[in-house]
Amino acid sequence: MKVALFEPATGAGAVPAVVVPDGLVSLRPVVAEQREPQLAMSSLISRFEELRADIEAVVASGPVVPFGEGRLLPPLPRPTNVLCCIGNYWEHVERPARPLNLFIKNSDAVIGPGDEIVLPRFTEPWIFMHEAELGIVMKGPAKDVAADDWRDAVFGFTGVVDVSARGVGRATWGAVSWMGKSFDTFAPIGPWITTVDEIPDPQDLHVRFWSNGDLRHDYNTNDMEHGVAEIVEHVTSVMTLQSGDVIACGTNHEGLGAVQHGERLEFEIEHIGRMSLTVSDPLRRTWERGVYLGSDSTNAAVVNRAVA
Amino acid sequence: MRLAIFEHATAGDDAQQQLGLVTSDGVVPVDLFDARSAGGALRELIVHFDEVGPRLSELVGRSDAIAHDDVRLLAPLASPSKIVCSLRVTAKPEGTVQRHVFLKAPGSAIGDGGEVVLPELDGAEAFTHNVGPAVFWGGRCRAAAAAEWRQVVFGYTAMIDITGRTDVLSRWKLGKSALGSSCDTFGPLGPWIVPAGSFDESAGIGLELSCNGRLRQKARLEDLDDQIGTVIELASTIMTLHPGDVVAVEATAEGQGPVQDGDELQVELDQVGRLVATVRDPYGRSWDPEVRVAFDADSTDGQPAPPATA
Repeated sequence: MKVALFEPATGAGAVPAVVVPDGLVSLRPVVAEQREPQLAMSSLISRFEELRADIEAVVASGPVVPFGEGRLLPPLPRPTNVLCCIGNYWEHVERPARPLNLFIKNSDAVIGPGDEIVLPRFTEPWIFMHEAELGIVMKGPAKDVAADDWRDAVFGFTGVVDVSARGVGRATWGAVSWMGKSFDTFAPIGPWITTVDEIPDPQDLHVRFWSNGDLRHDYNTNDMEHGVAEIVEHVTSVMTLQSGDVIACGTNHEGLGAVQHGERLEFEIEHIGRMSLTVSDPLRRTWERGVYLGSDSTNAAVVNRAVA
Repeated sequence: MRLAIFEHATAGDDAQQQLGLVTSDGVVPVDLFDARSAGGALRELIVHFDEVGPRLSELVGRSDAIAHDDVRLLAPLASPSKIVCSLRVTAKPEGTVQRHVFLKAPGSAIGDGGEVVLPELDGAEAFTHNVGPAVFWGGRCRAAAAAEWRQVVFGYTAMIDITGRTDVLSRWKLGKSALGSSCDTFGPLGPWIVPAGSFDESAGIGLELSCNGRLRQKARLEDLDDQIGTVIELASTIMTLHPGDVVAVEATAEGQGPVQDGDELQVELDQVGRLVATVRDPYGRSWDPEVRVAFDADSTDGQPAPPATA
C-alpha cells in the first residue's frame, strides 16, 4: 500500500490517503481529524495493523480523488526525529567499511512534493547540493531492535533529499555541527510512503534524480555499506524512535550536483514513486551545471582522471 | 512564576502528564488549553502567553494544588520542539574559538530527579557532562540579531548536556557532534521554566554544576551575554525557531568531567532553582572522576578527523 498525506481542494484539513492508479482514496472514514498533520500520519502508523481491514474496505469502496484535486503534503510533515546516515555507500572504492554514523537534521525543514527548496541568504557555504536518499519510516516506540527484527520497527519507505550546504569541495559546511544540512526547506520528503510489505528488498531499489531533465543520481541501494537492518539496530541502540520518524540511508555521492535558482528537480525511487521540486535563491547565485566533478568527487570521470 | 510539566509520583506507566504552575503550596494543574499532550499545552501557553499569563496568577493559592512530594517533574519541553545546543570549535593552529550549534534529539530530555542511563555505545570511552542555561524561544520573530537576543526569549531553565565520547577529545562517533549527545536520557532539563518577566537579572545570575557534592563547573550569566547572543543569532540564521524550541548555551569550557554509575549531578541556577539527575550504568564501567575534558575538546583537528561529508 502507498500511503500519502493529502490536503483536499475542498479545504478540509490534512488527511492520510491511499494511492490508487488514478488518484487517492481518503482515509477520513477510519482516522480521526488531527490538528497537527504529522499526528494524522503518526497515529495511523501506530494503529495501521489493527486498522488494516477497515483501510482495505475504504480503498475498495471509497471515491477516488484525482491527483489534481488537492495537494500532496510531505507524508511526514514534522517528524520528532529526522536522522541521516553519514556516507554509507561504497561508490566503487576498495576499502574496509567505514563505521556507521548519523547526524540529526532539522525536523522543521521538511517540505513535500511540488514544494520549493529556498536557498538561504547565508553566504559562507560555497555551494548547495542535492543528495537523493532512501528513507526508512519508523513504527514506534522502537528501542533496542535487533537487526533480524528490523521489519517490526519499520512502517515503510519514502524518499528524502538531504539538501546540503558545502564549505569546501563536497565537505559539509559547519565543521563539526552538520548545520549545513538543517537550513529551512532542506529536507524534502515524499512523495508518499510505501508500506514495508510492498518493498521486496530495500537493498535492491533504484534511485534516480534529475535536474531540469538531466540525470544526476543513478544508483542502486545494493551499494549501501550498512543496510536497513543494521541501521535500524544501530539507531535504536542509542535512542527511542517514534512512529513517523525518518532515517535517511545516505547517498551515493557519484551523482552529486548543485541545486540553484529556477531548477526543476525530479526524484524517483523504484517501488516508491516520483516527486518534483523547484528551487529558488533570493541571491540568484549560479554554479556550473551537471554532476559535481571537483577533486574530491567519487564520480567515475574524476576517479579515472586521477588514475590516468 | 514557574511552569512545569509533571505527573503524579505514585502513577504507573500510564500516568497522565500535565502542565502545571509551581507554587509554594504545590503544583496547580493548568488546563486552559485544548491540547493533546502536556507538551502541546506548553506550546500553546508560550504562543498565547501575553493574553494568558496574567490569568495564571489567579491559579496561585488554588485549593487543588498537588503537594510537591506527590509530584514527579518531567522535562518542561513543548511538543513539538527541537533542542539546539552550542559547542565551541577551536581552530588550529590559530587557536581562535568559534561557536557552533548542533541538534540534540528532543527524546533525550528528562526532568528533575530523573535518571541518566548510560548505553553501551560501542566504541565510546567516556561519558561527560556539560552545563548551561537553556532559553525557550518565545517566537516573536524569525531571526534574532545577537544584541537583541532577550527579545525572543520566553523563559529560562537549566540543562545538562550529557555526551558519549569516543575519547576525551571526540564526540561519539568519529569526532562529530552526531548521535553521542542524543542518547535517551542524555538531556536533564529543568526543573521548570521561569518566564523572562519573572527572571530578575539585576543581581547577576550564577550557575553551578556539582557532581556528588563537589563543584565542577561554574559560570555567571552576565559573562555569557555575548555568547548567548551569538548562539541565538547563529541558530536562527540557519533555521526557523518556533515557540518552545530550546537553545542551550554551553556556560563554560572548563570542568567538564566524566559521569558514571552512582553519580548525582546537581545544577543550581539562580532565579530558577535546582536540577538533579542521577546516573546509572548497566555496564558497570568506571572512569577517573578527576579527569577533565580538554579545553579544545571539539577542535577541528580532534582525533580522529574524518572528512565532513555525508
